[in-house]
Formats: sequence, structure tokens, C-alpha cells
Amino acid sequence: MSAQTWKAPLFFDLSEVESIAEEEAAITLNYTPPVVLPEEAQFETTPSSLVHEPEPEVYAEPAPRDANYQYSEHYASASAQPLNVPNNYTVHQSPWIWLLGSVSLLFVTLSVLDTFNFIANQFETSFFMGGFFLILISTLLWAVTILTWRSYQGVLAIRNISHLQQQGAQLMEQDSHGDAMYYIRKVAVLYYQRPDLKARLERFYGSVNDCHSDREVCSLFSHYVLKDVDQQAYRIVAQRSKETAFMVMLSQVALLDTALTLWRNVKMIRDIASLYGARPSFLGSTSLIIAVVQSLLYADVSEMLAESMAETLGNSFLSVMSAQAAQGVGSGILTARVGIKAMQVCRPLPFTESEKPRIKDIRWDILSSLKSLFANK
Amino acid sequence: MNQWTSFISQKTSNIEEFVNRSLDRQVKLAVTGLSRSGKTVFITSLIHQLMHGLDSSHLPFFEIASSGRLRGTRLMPQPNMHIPAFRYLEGIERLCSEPPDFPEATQGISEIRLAIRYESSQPVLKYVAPIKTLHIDIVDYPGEWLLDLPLLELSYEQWSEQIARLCEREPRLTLSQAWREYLDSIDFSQPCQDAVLRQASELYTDFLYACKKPEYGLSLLQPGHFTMPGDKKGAPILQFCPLLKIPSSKPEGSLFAEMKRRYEAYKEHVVRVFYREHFASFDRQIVLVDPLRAFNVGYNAFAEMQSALNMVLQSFHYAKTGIINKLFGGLKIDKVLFAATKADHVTPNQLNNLEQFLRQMLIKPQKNLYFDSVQTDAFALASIKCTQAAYTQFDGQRLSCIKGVPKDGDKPIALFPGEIPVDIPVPEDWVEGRFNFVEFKPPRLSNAHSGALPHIRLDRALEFLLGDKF
Repeated sequence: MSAQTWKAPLFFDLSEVESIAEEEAAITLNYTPPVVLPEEAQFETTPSSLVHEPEPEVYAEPAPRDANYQYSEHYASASAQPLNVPNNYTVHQSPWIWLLGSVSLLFVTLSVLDTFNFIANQFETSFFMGGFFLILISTLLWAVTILTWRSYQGVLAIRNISHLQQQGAQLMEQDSHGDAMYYIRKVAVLYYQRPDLKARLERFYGSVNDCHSDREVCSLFSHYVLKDVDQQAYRIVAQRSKETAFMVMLSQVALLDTALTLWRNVKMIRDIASLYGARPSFLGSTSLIIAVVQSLLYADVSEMLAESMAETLGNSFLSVMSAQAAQGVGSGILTARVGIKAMQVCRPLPFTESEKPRIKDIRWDILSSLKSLFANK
Repeated sequence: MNQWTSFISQKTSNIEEFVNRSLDRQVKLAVTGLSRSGKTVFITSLIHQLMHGLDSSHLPFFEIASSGRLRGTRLMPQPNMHIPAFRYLEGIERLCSEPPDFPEATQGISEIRLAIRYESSQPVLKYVAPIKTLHIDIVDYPGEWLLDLPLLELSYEQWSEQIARLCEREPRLTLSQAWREYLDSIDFSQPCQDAVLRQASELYTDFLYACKKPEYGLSLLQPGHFTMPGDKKGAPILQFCPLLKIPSSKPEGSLFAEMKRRYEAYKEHVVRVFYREHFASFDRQIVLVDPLRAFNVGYNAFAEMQSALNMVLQSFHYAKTGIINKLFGGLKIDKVLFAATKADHVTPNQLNNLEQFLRQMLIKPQKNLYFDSVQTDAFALASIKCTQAAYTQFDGQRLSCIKGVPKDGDKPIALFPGEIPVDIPVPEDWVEGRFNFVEFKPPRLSNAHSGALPHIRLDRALEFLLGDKF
């Protein structure tokens, strides 16, 4: 069905239109004495659910930027168009998959059979032994199931965030109107449990109104709610980078250096993810770490160049210091880079150019804290 | 001696203002717009938002207010004693009256100065001078007078030719009939007679008033003081008119020579004074345009509004200025905001179309400004939001619409006001019933004396115009 468009004005009966609670509160139209209320006024409203246009049943994919005609269609209709995801991927099935699949199936079947035989054998020898092993194995199974389930949830959460990021980037790129609140509500779900953000969410809902375009709504949300989270995440990154720098500087064993850096980095990534609301599990954090490493690998060459230039030019003090300190600063900065990438991967609304966290300040932090350490000696 | 001291004190006060403006402690804001484009309402609302915008959720995009650094705003005594003060309180009074009404149309020039107190965020100054003050000067004037500015570049003959060419087309052709017939009956190389001058200028003024009527909505009406004389009503300086045919012989003391003399005097004593006192130097400019009114009237009104704006904008000085430039090269406008007013008269999802349309409409001045590396932007804004957004079901689809009280009624109505075209429409687009944007009354504002006014995107306009001065 193609949405029809209207160009000329249309007049409606007042009872036909559906009002928006917030709009009614902000603009008073009744010129009659205030005691007489308009008949169609709706009072049984909860502020969070009626702030904006009720959500479309299917998320409407915004029209492409350059197609003006489709734009107007999108505007006038305000109806949801189903999301068309191309479903026709062609999966190349390699014989390796068959090999691996059959081997693992064999392994699983064998172990199930083996376990069953084992328990049955135990029951034959004595009821007590059989019971004991049964309980042991069921506990094991239960734990594995729970853990797997949680991991799966974690993976879903990370996927959800990257999905939200894509939607957010789309909304912020084009001049659409009316889709942002639905999206923001999905993001806000991540933060409902957080007492520190409750007041900020309320302020956001108080200041946003129906006339804001999607891009404005997103930047308001970013300003009121996520800015605070960003600062917390930034502090974590700075803290962990300094810790890594110190530890690497103090440790004398190369292998220990690597282990320390890895440990601090993984912890930092998990902390940042849970701060942004992703709550990663073991599997989740693995996929998160993969994502972070990927984005590190694919980082702009120019970005890398700028940073390494600054590092080589700016650290005249390092040339005087020991190699040990230089190593420390190096791994500290690596941690900071990982941390900032993790922030970018975990933030549900993508950073705009001006909001992007910079590594410069963290480097300064690390250097000055190391300097103060040397000065104290 | 006394003369000298007064001269010196005047010079020093000028220098003080100059230094203040160079150092971003004072901003002169040009609110530009043709008549009835909403200048007075915009200024009233802007003052009110600044005075009552301390609640950060009201101006979310005005960074100084939303970050809580704004300490407050106060009306200050204006710098020029001989110019009437902008009647802000009167405007608010009218908005809060029962029934509410918009502030009256401006009849003459007026001025206002605001002092904004804020907490500095600059790294060093934060500790030296934590609380700073920014002064904002705003001038309000009848939009008709703006169209006098292009006259400064034109001789009497050039101007006459321009007007003659305009009168060749409808609807001016019919409207100007009485005036043209009178001109045809007079030989302008004859010796000057006051009665003829008066009669010709009266007929011309009548013609201008006819063009100004809402059903024609023409905006290129020169000279501006004819339809809005201010304190010069009846002065001989306003008694002249353009000629359709320039007489071949122009002896001294002829009607033509007298007309030309008065035109030059008008330029010198009315336009140039107005320009020098109020328009010579600005720091920031907002150009208010009301495209909806032009849509309602038709293609002619629209084309004329576009060319009038183009002409007016050429009279301002633009350049990107750094502090050195400011101190040695004079003050110039370095940021211009084009704003489509009455954005509340269309549905929220049309705001983007309105903005795109405005960009298309003013593409020429915008390109020139871009060449001068002046920063520009275009917003759709509503100084005072008069309507509520709502939704309805129509033909099985959800349709966004607005509710408001129309200007000539006292009961709210609901409507879908029509779609704003993104491209500049051609005359064929004005089919019957295509454009009919209803004008709305302001909403009931019970607590406007203490609370803020509802608006659309005024905070973004403020941020664009003043944000970098804090």
C-alpha cells in the first residue's frame, strides 16, 4: 500500500483529533472561562507514555535523504512502513562446517551416552553412588544452562546496543521528524534502573517537545542523560590507564606486563559496558572485546598518525626517563585507546564529532602522574 | 569650551562602546524583516525568554541557560536618550490580556538594551572575573523603512525607471491607474507648482497603500516613509513621487527638478540619517521572513518578497571578523540567521520543509554571505507558540494536525494546514485552495509575567546568534 499525500489544507472537527497531553499543558487555547474544560480533554495520562506520538507498531524505516518525494509521503502519512531487511544472504557452506558440526555432534552424543551409561552403572553398584553422581551431574548441567543463558542474554544486549547505534546514526543524519521518541524510549529502557540518571531522564522528558526534530531529540538526550555517563566512563578509562602505566613501569618481567595490561583492559571494557547498560557476561564480553579490537584495527590511519605524532613529539621528558617508564606510558596509552574505543562501541547513541572523547587529556593525566612520581623520589 | 567637552565626552563614549563590542562585551543585534514579519513579537519574546529562561528545561539548546551558568537578565537604560524605548512591558501586557493579543505593529523606531549576567567558563578568566556581563542592543523599527536603504544607491532617474518597470505588470498596473493617468496629464518640464507635487504624491501614496492591502500583499513599496511616515507626516520632504517618463528638457525650477531635489533631500535627511544612526554597524543579524503570508496571497507576493529581501540584505556590511579586524576595520556582521516565523502555524513534521524552503528562497544572499565567509543558518521558529500539535485519523491514516484559535474567532479549531513545498513554487502551483494558512491568536498566558513563553526553536536561534559571545 502506498501512503497517500495531502497538499491542501484540511479542516477537522475538534472531537476527531487526538490531543497530546504535554501540548495541552503548555499552550492554553480555551478562551472561555477556565472552569469549563474542553470535552475532549484526556486526563488519564501517564507522563512517560504520552509525551509524544504513540509508537508505531513497526519501526518505520526513515526515507532516504535525497528522495524528496518519498519524504513528503513519509511526512503526510505518518504511517508505519514495514522494515525491509534483505533476507537473501547466500551462505557458502564449506565442507569444514560439516566436518566440525559432525565431530561436535558425535562428541555430544557420545558424552551424553557415556554419562547415561556411567550413571546407570553406578546405580547398579549402589543406589547411593548413583544418586550422588546424578545430583552432581544435574547440578553441573543446571549451572551450564544458566551460564549459557546469561551469556546469550549478554550477547543479545551487545547486539541490541549496536543495533541502537545504527538507528541513532540514521536519525541524527537526516532531517526526519517523529521517529526519535520511539527510539529514545528503547534507549532509556537501559537506564530506568539507575537512580543517578532518574532525575536526568525526567529533565530530558521535561524539556523535549513535539516540535523538536529527530536530530534535536537525540542531541537533547545525549546532552541531558548520556553526558553524565560519558564522564563516568571517561574517569574509568583515565583511572585504568594510569593503573596500567604504573604496574607496567614497576614490573620487571615482560610476560607479567602483557598479562597485567590484558587483565586491566578486559576489566575496563566490562566496566564501561555495564556503565552504558550492556551488562556483559563472559561470552558477551568476548564479543565486545572482539568488537573493540576490530574498531581499533580499523581506526583511521589519520587518527593513528596524529596520535603517534603527538606521542613522539610531545614526550621529550620520556627521552630522559628510563625505558621502564616509557613502557609504562606506552601501555597506559594503549589502555586509554582501548577504553575510548570501548566507549564508542558501548554507547547506544553514537558520539557526534564534538562529543567524542579525546585521548589527549588522558595522556596528559598519565604523564603528569608519572612525573609527579619521579619528582617525589 | 563647553562645546569641546561635550564633543570629547561623546567621542569617549563612542570609543568605549567600540572597545566593548570588539571584546565581545556588547552585541548589537539586527532584527531585520519586512513589515508584518514578526519583528516586534520576536523581540518581545526574546527579551522575555532571556529574563525568565533561568529554568534550564525551557531553553534546552541555549547552552548558557541549559548549563545553569546564566545568572539573569535585566533591562538597562538605553544608550541614546532621544530614541523611544522599546515597549516590552506593554507587549507582554497585551499578550496576557483577556483576550490575549499580539503586540501592536511598530510605528516608529525604538531601542532596548539588555544586560545578561553569566558565569564565565574560560579557563583563566574563570578565577579572575567569575561573573561577566554581556550587553545586547536591539533596535525595533517599521519594516517598511528597510526598503529605503536600497535607495541610497539609486539616482532619481534610476529609481523612477525601476518603479515604471514594476508598474507594467499586474496587479500594480490596475492599482496605479489613477496615479499614472494624473502623471500623464502633467508636463513635468513646466515650472514648479506645489499643488501638483502634493496631488501627485498623494495619489502615489494611495497606490502604495492599495498595494499593501492583505489581498495583494506586495512588499516592494518605496519610499518606505510614505506608508509609515512616523513623525514626518505632511512634511514637504515626503511630497514627491517617481516619474514614469523622464521629460526631455529639464530646466531649473521645473516640476521635474523639484521632484529630484526632494528625492535627494529624502535620501539625505531621512534615509541616510536612519541608516547612520541605526544600521551602520551590527555584529549579528536575524532576518525574519513570513513565507506563509506570501503563500496565502499568490506568486506575485512571493516573488516580490524574495526580491525585496535580496535588495535589503545588500545594504548591510558583512565580513568574518577577528579582533584585529574589528579594531582597525570597523564592525561588521559575522553571523546571519534566516528565520521563517510562524512555524507554529504548520504541523511539526513540516518544520523541516519550511526550513528547506527558506533556504531555497534566500539562496542568493546566502551564497553571497558564504563567499564573505559569514556563518549562516536557516531555522523555522515561532516566537510565541499559538497552537497545539495533535493527531487524527483521516482516510485510515494517522495525520498530524494542529489545534488553535483562529485570529477572527474565539473557538479553537483543528486542521491540517497543508504541505509546505520544498522547492520554489511556480505560478501554476497556486491552484484553488492549495495554500490557506490560517492565522492564529496567541494562547492564554496566565503566568507570563513570571513564567516563560512557549516557543519553537527560539533557543536554537539564541544559541546561534549569541552562543559564542559567552
